[in-house]
Amino acid sequence: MGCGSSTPGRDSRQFGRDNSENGGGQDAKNLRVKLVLLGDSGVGKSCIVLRFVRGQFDPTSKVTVGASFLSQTIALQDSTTVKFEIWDTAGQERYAALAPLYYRGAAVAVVVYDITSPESFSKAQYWVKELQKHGSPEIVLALVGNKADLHEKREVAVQDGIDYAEKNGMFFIETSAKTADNINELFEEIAKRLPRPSAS
Amino acid sequence: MTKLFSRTFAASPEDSRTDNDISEKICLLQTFLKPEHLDIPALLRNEASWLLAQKELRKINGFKSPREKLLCIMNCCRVINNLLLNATISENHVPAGADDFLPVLIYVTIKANPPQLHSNLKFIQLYRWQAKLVSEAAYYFTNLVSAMAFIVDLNATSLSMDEEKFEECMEAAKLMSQQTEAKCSSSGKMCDKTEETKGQLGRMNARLEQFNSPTTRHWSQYTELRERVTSSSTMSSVTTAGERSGPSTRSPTRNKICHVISAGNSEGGNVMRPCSARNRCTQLRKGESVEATAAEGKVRKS
Repeated sequence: MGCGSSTPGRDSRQFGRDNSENGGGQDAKNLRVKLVLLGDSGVGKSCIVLRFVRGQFDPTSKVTVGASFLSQTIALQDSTTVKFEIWDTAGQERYAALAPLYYRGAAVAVVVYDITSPESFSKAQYWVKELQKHGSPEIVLALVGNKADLHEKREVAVQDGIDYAEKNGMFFIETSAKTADNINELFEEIAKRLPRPSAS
Repeated sequence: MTKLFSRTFAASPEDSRTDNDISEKICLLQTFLKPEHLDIPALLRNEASWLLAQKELRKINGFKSPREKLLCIMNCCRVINNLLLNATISENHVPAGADDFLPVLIYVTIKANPPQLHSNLKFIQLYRWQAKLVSEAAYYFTNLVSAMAFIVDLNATSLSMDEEKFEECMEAAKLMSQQTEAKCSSSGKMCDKTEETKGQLGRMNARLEQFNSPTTRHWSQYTELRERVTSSSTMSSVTTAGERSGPSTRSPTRNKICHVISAGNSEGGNVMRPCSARNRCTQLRKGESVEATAAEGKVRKS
């Protein structure tokens, strides 16, 4: 790709700067992290973000910002704040090759699947492999099984998710954007796992 | 940055080649690509919003600073975002994320065919203050970069379209663009004419060479003879002067040959310039030289 590949020097610099910010940077108490969402289309990536940012699922409510890029700041108990800049990606198969443009320089990658769809689970595994191959080595990975409220239609067992996450050193959680179950927990846990400045 | 613009923007020939390639591909795609090929839901097909977004995106070439160029991208993306949000509010659609955003941006980019897209993006990437190319701006910038990457690599498998039909459409589009080029593209016509004239000049040069070779032989014979005469007889200054200024001592044919050859020599032997070639041809074949002049006239006119 022309724009990306033609400026390797600059890219790596940007990359380095992002890392230093995520790892503490100048302001150890106020972290800013780039979080990228990956997963098949229709697994509810944007619903999770909307739930987290707006605290609501109802799509009829007035949302004033774009749903593909959102940011939200959370405060942790140790009085640090973490500002998540959430980058949504298009999940359709035909855009899969574009994903590296998005997760470059990301501190966190959240891979989402739908517990009622085994295909979306295998797609999630594909993304995990891609991230391990091409992502930043310090990237925090989270595996999320969404639509946990639809347990009567469940086709991916909880244990499958746990096992896969454990094998790949990921954090695993099942969420429901509809009932808001585990949404805040997901982001809090990610914030805790972020690499901290050496002082803390 | 504005002052350096001409040196920093699309400065390398590779960049302008990439720009042209992308623009040509988009031109072909424009002829047949429909929103359904990118699976854009009917709900999001809003011509008015799309036109507005295209207009915003096309403004990118009107600005010289990386900041303003980036703003054009942001404005275009905001228009699309508003469209998505309105759709989710009015209909009970699932909240639109990147799954809906990117296809619309790709479609808008194809419809807009913003001039020098590659160079514009590269320019922003290189020269926008990196501390400002973060967060939302970086996100929308990345989206346009990936839209362009998608278009560059676009083939039948990247669209919801039959492979054969895609090839057919691309071929038809190519044919159509060739026809329009032949018909109305003035620059193309001029190129053709120039080629034609070049060909004619080449042919004339070859003929001139044919004509020149016996002349050169005659000239060398003449010089030899003259030298022999000069060395064998005691030359008076009067004769020399007479020879120098005396076309009267030579036959008219020789004189003409002399003229032609000296003209050739003074121009540096074999190096032929189109103009002098034409002049010389006037002496050779009147008909052809008229043709050459006519051809040149046409080039100038068009």
